Amino acid sequence: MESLSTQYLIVFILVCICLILMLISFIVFVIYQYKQKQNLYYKDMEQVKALHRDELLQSQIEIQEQTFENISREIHDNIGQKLTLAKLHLNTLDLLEVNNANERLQTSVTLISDAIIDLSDISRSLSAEVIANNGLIKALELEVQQMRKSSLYNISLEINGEPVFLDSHRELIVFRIIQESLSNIMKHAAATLIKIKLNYTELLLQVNISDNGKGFSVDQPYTYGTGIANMKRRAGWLKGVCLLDSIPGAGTNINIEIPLI
Amino acid sequence: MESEVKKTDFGCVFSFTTDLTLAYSCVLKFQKKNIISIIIVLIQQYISMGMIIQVLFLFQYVCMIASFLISLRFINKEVFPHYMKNFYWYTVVGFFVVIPSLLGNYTDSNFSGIGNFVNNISVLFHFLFLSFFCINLLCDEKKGIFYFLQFVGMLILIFLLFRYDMFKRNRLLSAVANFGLVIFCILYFVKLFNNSPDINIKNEPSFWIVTGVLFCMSISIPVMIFQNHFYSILVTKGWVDFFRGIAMLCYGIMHLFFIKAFLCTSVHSKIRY
Repeated sequence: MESLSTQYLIVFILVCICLILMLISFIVFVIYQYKQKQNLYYKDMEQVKALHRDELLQSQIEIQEQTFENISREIHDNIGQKLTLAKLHLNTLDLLEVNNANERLQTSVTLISDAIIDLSDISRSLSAEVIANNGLIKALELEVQQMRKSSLYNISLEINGEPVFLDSHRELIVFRIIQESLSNIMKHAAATLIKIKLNYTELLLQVNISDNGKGFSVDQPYTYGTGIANMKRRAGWLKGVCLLDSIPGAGTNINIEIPLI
Repeated sequence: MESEVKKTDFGCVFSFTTDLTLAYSCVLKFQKKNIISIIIVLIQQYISMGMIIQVLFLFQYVCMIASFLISLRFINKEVFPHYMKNFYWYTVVGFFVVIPSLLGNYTDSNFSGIGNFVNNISVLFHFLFLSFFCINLLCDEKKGIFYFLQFVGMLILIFLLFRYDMFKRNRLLSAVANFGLVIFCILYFVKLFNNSPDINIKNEPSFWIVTGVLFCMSISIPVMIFQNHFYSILVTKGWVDFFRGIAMLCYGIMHLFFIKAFLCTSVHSKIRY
């Protein structure tokens, strides 16, 4: 009877030891597997982060190149023309004809003043410092003000929701997207009315740019210029989307959604 | 001759010393057979199944009370992670549920009927609470399916509760509840490995709780079924103690894991502005 009791006891102790060993093995196994998975995950995350950093760098370079292109175009098409005209006026200046000379001098002064104003406008609109110092909304207000000066467009800017400051780099990209779309409207749309709406929600920054221009067929992708592709790509860099809606003759509507988190 | 020595006698001390010395010399000489036989003799002489059961009984309740006491510091406090906020209720209810069993064990009063009744009812709470805890950890979008599973489980348990005498220990009820919880625990581990592994698992309270529950429940299912269905066959005292001991060890370990989970949980005092 006693040996039977001892047998039960030994079996019991062995079973208990086995159970505890099983439990320890299970925990060690789960933790080990999880750590392995975690290491792989962190490696992947590092790669994604590096990729994102590269993309941002690429975007910076692209924006810089485009800025240079815009500067050279503006200088060539606008300021260069005004300065050439001023030089022409000054070259043909005949000091013996006082009235004519005065008029030519006055015109030259006006042309040079316009060129100086244009230069400062370009510098202001292309400079990333405006965004860094004043933020997206202020930069947009300046841009709108600039366009109003031309008297060609009835342009409005509407801000809804509580504005959230993204970091200056992201704000610059959003600003460049809006600038690109405004540039497209000016170049191709022949619009008279432009509406810019910014809506800040808890999770998103929604930007809507609409015009009453001639529009285009969205179904035919070859009608897109590189400008639209640029806008979509830039929105993608910020993990956002850029959607176009346009009907020939009925204007264009651009919706951009950028996550705030 | 050795076995006739009473454990309270001083002779026992001398005999124990002699045995230990013998064991030590065997270890030195690396005589495996002798070591095993000495261990068996030591077990025969100084450990009995009754003693082990008493130790495990104490171990189980000490762990339970310790986890209850540690959980008290979470009452009305901001805790992180948030799913631990109300977990102290499990140990609090568990503590009150075991009172009849404790009283029954240490006093002459017969609380077994009431104890069994409280135990049977507590199985419903045990299933509901732990399954709800697991669903909270699992829930993303398919919450409805898990709640449906929980609801079906509860219906089966209520049926089993009323099907048998409520004042007798219903081990089938416990086995079914534990089986349901094992499913939820497995789902937790599936989710743990399918989601992005961005948590520090060693300091994750949910991991320790679910591991403890999974271990205890999966071991106790066969134990309960054996106790329920083969009780008449395995009616010898040795087997009864064997299964009781295993169940108590598992519950004790589960509460140790709860303690670990509580220790991983940080407490912040409520700040009112």
